[in-house]
Amino acid sequence: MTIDIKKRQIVLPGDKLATKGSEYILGKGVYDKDDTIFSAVLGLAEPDERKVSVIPFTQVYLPQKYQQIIGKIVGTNQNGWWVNIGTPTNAFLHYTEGGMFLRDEDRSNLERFYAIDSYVCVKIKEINYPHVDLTMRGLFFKEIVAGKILSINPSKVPRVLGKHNSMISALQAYSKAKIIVGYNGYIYIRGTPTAEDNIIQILDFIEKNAHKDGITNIVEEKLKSIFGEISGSTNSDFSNGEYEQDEQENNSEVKEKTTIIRRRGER
Amino acid sequence: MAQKPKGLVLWNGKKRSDGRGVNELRNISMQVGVLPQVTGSAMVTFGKTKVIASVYGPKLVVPSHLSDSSKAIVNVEYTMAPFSTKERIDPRFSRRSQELSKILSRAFEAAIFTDMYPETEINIFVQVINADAGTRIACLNAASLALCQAGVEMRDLVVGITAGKVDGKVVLDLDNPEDNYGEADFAFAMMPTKNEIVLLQMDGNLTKEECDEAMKLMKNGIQKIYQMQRDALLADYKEESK
Repeated sequence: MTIDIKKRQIVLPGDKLATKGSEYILGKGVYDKDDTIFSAVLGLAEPDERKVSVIPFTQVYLPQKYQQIIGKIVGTNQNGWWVNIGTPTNAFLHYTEGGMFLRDEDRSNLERFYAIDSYVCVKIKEINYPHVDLTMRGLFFKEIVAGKILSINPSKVPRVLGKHNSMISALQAYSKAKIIVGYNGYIYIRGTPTAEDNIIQILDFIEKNAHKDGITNIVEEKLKSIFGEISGSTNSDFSNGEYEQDEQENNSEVKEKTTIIRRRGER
Repeated sequence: MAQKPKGLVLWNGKKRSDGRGVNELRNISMQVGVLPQVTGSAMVTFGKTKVIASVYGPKLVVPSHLSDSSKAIVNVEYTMAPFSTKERIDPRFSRRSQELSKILSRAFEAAIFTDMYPETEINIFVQVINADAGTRIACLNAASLALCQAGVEMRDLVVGITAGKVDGKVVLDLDNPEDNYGEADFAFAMMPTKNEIVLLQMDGNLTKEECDEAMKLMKNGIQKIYQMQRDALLADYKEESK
């Protein structure tokens, strides 16, 4: 395979990326015609020895098996809940996968457990496109009761996480807030109100500059100026999805309502 | 074609009525991301013609029985604002807007990978703010930019242009008097890097030689507009592309 473009070059639909050789793999965001490989989207080219792909600047979320996502309950039936996960079609959460044991009579009104318009942290169990099945079996999958949910474009999620989760673990370590990143672009933030607002500002910055190099360092400097140096024993290792209910949340009698921040192009 | 008013000279042997040469385009400007609420939007002006395009989707088909399990449906809605012409026009869906919506959706079906998004629809809304000839082509260019910004997978950008015959001369990119009082009007769109034609319409009469000449002019013009589309899309990322 002979490659005609530089690494991380911005390409447009129809741009020639490479000529096929004896061995080649088509990555995402590309297509082939006869002997040539072309880009199909506006994004950054990622050529490799045998594989060429394009990372799009914006995209519609296409689900993948076992990905952790955040969804919104949009409806129920006898067998479970319909969840909007940002894909064109709604996903389904069966009552046996809902993270609790339900008797037959409970199934007459499943809205009692997860009400419509509430948010849940779930995992993709099975895809039979366009039908998607979800599950909440696992330690970290539960309903989201307080905090803020931010929605970004799914193509920016890898930048928000950073290399080996470097970006998101820095965010958590400095702000001492809990952050769950759903691969569909929903980000759940729980901390003090000022910390939550600051994190949203920083996530905005990351989303806007996602195509640039070396933003982890800039973000870390920003974090230092806002929150100060890391003090005390904070666990900087980030495990996406680790969500413990803190004391404050358990004790508070009045449940805080989840605030939702919507973005462009959201249904 | 309407009766030409007395004293109106569209081609004087050297220049056209607005001072342009045979193969010169009007002033074209393109801007991407003009509407913050939608995933993809663009505004395009061709001289005095001004259009806005917005893209929603891919999303669920409503009503669902219209959905296709093998591919996405591409819907285009062409509308003219009531204030877009000299006399107020009815903004409701007319026979003309139905035809233009259909030909634009056919053009984009050829460019979009519809089989990537089964059981969904992609809605493209194009609105003419000011009409001064060549609105369908301006709408097509705007919709192409909006689709690319929305991240819909496409074979290529879709680029369109018009040509026509005024006072016996084949010229590129007609303006309003040329469109109204000329002898022929030729709308044309293609995917430039693939060399595939996706839209071809003609009104009036041209000989085979004139037709070939018009095609030659338009293919050159398309390369210029294609470069403008590329610049408009890369404007936000200019520092990096250097």
